[in-house]
Amino acid sequence: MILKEALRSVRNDLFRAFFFWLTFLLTTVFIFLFFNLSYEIGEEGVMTIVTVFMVIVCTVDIFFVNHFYMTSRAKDLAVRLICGATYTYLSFYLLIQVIFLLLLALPAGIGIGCALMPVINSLLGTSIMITTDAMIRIAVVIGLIIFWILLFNMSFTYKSAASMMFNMQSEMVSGKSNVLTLRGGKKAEKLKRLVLFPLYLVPLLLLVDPLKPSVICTGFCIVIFSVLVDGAWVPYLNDQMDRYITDPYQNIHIGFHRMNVRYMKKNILLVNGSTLFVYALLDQAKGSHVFSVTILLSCCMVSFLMWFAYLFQYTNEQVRRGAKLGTLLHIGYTKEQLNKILRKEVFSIYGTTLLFFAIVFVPVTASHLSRAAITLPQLALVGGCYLIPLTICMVVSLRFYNRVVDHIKTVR
Amino acid sequence: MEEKKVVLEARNMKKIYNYQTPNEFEALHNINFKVYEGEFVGIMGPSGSGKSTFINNISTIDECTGGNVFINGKNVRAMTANEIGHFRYENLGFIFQDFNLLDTHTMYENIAMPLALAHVSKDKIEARVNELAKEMKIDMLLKKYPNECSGGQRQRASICRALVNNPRIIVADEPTGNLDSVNSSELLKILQELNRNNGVTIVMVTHDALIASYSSRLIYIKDGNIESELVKGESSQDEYFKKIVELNSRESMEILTK
Repeated sequence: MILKEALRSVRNDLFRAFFFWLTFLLTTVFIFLFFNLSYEIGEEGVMTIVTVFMVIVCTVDIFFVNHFYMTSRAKDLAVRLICGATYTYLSFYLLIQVIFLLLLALPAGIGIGCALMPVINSLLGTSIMITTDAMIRIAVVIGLIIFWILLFNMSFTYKSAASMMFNMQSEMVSGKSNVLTLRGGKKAEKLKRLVLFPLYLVPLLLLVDPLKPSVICTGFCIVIFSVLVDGAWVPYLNDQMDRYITDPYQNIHIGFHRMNVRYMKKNILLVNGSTLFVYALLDQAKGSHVFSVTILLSCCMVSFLMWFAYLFQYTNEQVRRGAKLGTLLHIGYTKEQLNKILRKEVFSIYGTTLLFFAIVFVPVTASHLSRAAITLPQLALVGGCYLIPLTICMVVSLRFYNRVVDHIKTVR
Repeated sequence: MEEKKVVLEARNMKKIYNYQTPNEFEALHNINFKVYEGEFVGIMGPSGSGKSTFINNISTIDECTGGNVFINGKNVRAMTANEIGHFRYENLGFIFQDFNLLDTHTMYENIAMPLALAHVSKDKIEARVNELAKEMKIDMLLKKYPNECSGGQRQRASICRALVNNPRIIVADEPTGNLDSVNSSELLKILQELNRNNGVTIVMVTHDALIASYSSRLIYIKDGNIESELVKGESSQDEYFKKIVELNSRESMEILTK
């Protein structure tokens, strides 16, 4: 009975279940490849950093996706709770769903990993074999990930009251900016912005020194970005809203974009930060072909994985916002106007993500080229692995909004 | 005697869901209905009777399958999409049960939206929004987001947005549905004042007899038809309320004795 119910729940929300499964799959593939690589190549210097970073990124990504999968189940769980389900029942109900998706993903992930090993070997010019020790390490890491997911899910059902789960929505972002609050009103806020925006660029000056690893400057930029969004970017958008309050297109677009930036901040940080961090490690490869190719492959894998999570998160927000779009039609906007605003919204958020990436990517690339740490074809590969998933995600988001607007029930 | 102007009229209005499919369902059957300028019309009926369908179809939110709807003499079906949009922000104000404020915008920005569509200048927007917010006692909340405010405060903002363009007709679908009794009573007093002092026409759906007693005329809808009509006339609110309760009870008894 509980097995049937759990599997039916997975089937009823195939979209989210598919994302969850795909994340497990990709994570298994990456962890499999990296542990085999690091075991064979040796755990020295940059290889250790890359492997550890990849494991952390994959783990964080799974936790992210798991969180959204759980919150999407909140209403389902709440209904079962009020119908008399016990905590044990709910825990098993969730456990079965997670294990089911994992059982589908694990063998497929390992199979894909094994299939990719010859490709990796030919790229690296190595003959890495799959070893038992590496498999044990992989099992331990994946086992730990599963353990923590189960613990999170069980604590979610234990702590959440039915009423809370009924009303659970996607994470709501507070409108207030708490970052570096200054006294002095608008002038002080403008001064803060004048300081924070250039501060994002200052660490890149370190690239001038060829002895400084790019990864340090990139790390600083990543840290400053999280402050920049709430401290400068959102207040800037508030000013723009004030300026364009009379423009019926701009005022809606700026409001949507402002919420998107706050809501997607973590994902922008993840996709840009992780790709840039790994990319910046290239100057540490010190001419080793194996290390360079490993880093480039990591860069590409991380980019795909993070864009995937980005799309999942953004789609959740689109679904939530879609429910409110009818309001704009009631106020007096037409569907055509709405489509125009939403197109602009999608271009804005993806464009913003790309902009913050490019600000760091370009100087780091210049530094790599000057140190002969990267060739042009490799640069094209990294660029492609960022831009291709970005474009795919953008197209998916646009098509999703088109469908949402078409389905809004109103006159024309 | 001055003839009252008809602001809203439905002629042989019919609404069929899933038209020309196996699951076809006729929710409204040839409704003929008029609302005169300055009226406060309440619409009541049991669940599934077609109240919300009725109000959606007469207020341009939905398109009727048959018949016509005229607002201020204009046939809604003959309008283009742009004309309808234009028409909405010039003539209509909507108040919903679940407020329908955008949580991506502050309370100020939500209220100002219809004015932006009407291409009003920034100074006038500021003046008008502040004026209404002060009247509705939410002037201290204008910089907050809807999720930071209570239900009553959000509904007040929703009313401000509905009134900001000085509409001639307000359409309210269960406006007190998510409010406590104190806020409900305050909201209805506001609507009543708007109707009496400013001559705004109000069409309101409710399932609550007490809320309906604030109206000047009541339409009772059952199974997609206008079953009965009550006019307040010279009666007091108490007397009118009793008549509404009696009407509801009579209708309920009919169902029970079937």
